[in-house]
Parts: sequence; structure tokens; C-alpha cells
Amino acid sequence: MQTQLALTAALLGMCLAGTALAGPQPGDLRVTDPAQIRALGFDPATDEVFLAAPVDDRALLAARLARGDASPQAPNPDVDPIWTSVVGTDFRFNRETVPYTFVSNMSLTCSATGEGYSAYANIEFPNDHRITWMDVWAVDNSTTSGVRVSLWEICQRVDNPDPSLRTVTRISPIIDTGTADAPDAVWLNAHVGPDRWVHAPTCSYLLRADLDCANSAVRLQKVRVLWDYD
Amino acid sequence: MTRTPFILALLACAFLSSASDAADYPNRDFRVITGVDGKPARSDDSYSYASGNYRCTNTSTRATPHVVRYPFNLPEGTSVRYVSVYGRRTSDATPVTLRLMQVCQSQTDVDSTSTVLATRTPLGNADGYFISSMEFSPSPETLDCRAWVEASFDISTMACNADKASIQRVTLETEPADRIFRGTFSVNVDYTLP
Repeated sequence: MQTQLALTAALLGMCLAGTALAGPQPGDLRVTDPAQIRALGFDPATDEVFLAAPVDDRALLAARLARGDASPQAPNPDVDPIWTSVVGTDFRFNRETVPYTFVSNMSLTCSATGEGYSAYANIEFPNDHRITWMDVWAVDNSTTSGVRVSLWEICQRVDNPDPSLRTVTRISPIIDTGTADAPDAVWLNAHVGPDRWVHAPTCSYLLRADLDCANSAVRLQKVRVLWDYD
Repeated sequence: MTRTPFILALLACAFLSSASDAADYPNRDFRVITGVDGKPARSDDSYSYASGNYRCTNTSTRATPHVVRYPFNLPEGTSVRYVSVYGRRTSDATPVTLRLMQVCQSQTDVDSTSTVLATRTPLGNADGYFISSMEFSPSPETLDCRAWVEASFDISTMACNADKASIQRVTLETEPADRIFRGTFSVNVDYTLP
């Protein structure tokens, strides 16, 4: 009897683990304020939007360095073997009226005035791998403007296009160069949490960059997302 | 009696597996391109992004359709099974035509040739949402060809209404040539050459 109960519990555990491959995870915060959902670029009438809980990645970074990385910027292929990168020119602003420049070093700038604008880039990962770190290279020479980058996951049923059945999750923290800071060329990174698994049949992934338009003073150069087999 | 929990667990497992929409597809790769990754064909193709979707927003009619393209690359030898486009087109919105395209140019030629591999007119549900699947056979030639999916919004008689005509995503269901050894052995590189 005890053996059967143990098997039952194990079986249910495996099933539940299988269902947790993609979409919002325990601890993610559901956004319920319609204005906030709209500000995030989604429709409160149809989209379930979640924000990943903050991750204290100091221990993860220490563990990564302990495993043999030369530095977080130069990962050891034996530790974090594979990554996907997009450069500034892979991004596109959210409407055609936003003036932009792709300067010669492949970075993205925004030359509009006034409010900030969002640019998006598709990013792909192979199925059933775990997303780990997001690295951002940018230039910020403005004391009033900056760039903020985040990674999003949109999961949708294979057999139903109804958007009310989708879930949208910001799976990374926002990497921010700061509006009051002018750090010049920067490299910033953050961990997306321990259990962000790619489920390619149902989920798509995109990077969002919110730029305060400051011409070449603020530039987004590259975003690299690491993933592993663990 | 003692088997009941185990049977219930099996039933629960089957339910959860189906409910999670996480079916296993043997020897299949999936690539999903978000709607916002679309490349408009012309500088006067007005668009906006919402909820990760690409929306046609041309407010004036014109003879030339608004075309948005989703190019893709596949490893040599990879077969494409299906290309599925998710989107919305309500019955009172701009007509939308989906195409699977390929352009080829041999290495010794200066002219390229574009070919329509498949065409679909999406049929939306009551709210206009659709999934339109196209077969892709034979698979694209990676040496001389480049393939893409495009959505053509016919704005010759009706302008776009942003909420009624959009592309949510494009999904490629592909089959790798060799699941086990892909990427492991270089078959097209001769390391003996200088």
C-alpha cells in the first residue's frame, strides 16, 4: 500500500512538473491594473500578464564563477555552452513613425523627442532548455535618459488562436542603464530565475527595449541570453 | 481497492498532460516568430505593435497592398512540415492573404526568381482569430534560396483597422535531418584545405 501511494505521489509529481514547463511560474505576479497592462504593451481585455518575481542572483553568479567562468562577460563554453544574441539592428520600434538610427556599430538609437519609445526583437531558443542569464551591452552618456531591456514570453495554445487563452510573462528583471546616470559603455546582466524552461511548441520570446530618445547618447548594442541543458 | 489511487493518478496525469498542451512531438523542432518581428515591405506600410502582434494601421486606401514579411533560415537538410500563421481578421476587416515564398538565385546567376509555394486565405472564428497552416514541400534549398512567410493586407478598397487585422505569430514545425548527430559532425567542411 505504501509503495503504491509513493508511486502515485511520484507520478503526480512528474505530471505536475511537466505542466510547469512554460508560462507563468509560482511566485510570478499577476498584473491586474488595466492601465499598467496597457503601459506594458498588452490588452487588458484579453491578455493575462505576469511579472516574474525578483531573483537574488548573487549566489547564482557566485556559483557560476566557481564552476569556471573567466568572467560573466566571457562565459566558459563548458559551463554555459550556448546562447542566443541579438544586436541593436534586430530591434524595431513599435510603430513606423519613430525616427531611429542604426549606427555603424550595429547599435540602436532613437532620435524622436518627448516620450520614450519601445522597440522589440524576436529571440529564439530551442525547446526544453533552461534560460539562465540575460546580458545587455549599451551606451548611456545622458544624465536624463537611459534604456531598459526585458525578456518576455508569450505562450499560446497550439490549436486555438484566441488571445484570452494566452499568457504573457516578463520572465526577466528589467535591466536599466538609469536615467540620471551616465555610465558610458556598460555591460549589465541578470538571472531570469532557476526554472524558466523553453517550450517552443507553444511559446514565443521577445526582447523589449524602452529607450528614452537621446540620439546617439543612448544606444542599445547587444543582448545575449544564455541557456543550458540542466 | 488499493489500486484506486494509482488509477486516479494515471487519469490525472493524462488530464494534466492534455490540459497543459505540452504534447510531445517526436523528431520535431518548433520555431516561433513573434508577430512584432514582421518586416513591412514599404516605408509607407503603417503598423503598430500590441500584445506582441503586428497590426496593419494604414488609414488610407491604395492600390498596393500592405505586406509584412517573416523571413527564416533553417539548417541544411532540415525538412519543413508545416508553417502556421496565427492572427486575426474579422469579417468586416481588410482582406488578408497569406503566402509562403521562396526566392532563389544560383551562384552563377545575377537574376533571382521568387516562387509562391503556398497561398491561404485565413478563415477566422466568430471573433476573427485564425490559425492558417501551410505545407512546405519540398523543403527550402539553403544554398541558393531564402524563404519567408508574408501576410498581404489588401487596402485597395478598405483601410486597415488596427484592432481587426493582425498577425500574432508564425510557427515553423520542422524535422531535423539527424536528431542525434546534428551539429556534431561537420559534413560540408573540408579541414584539409588551407
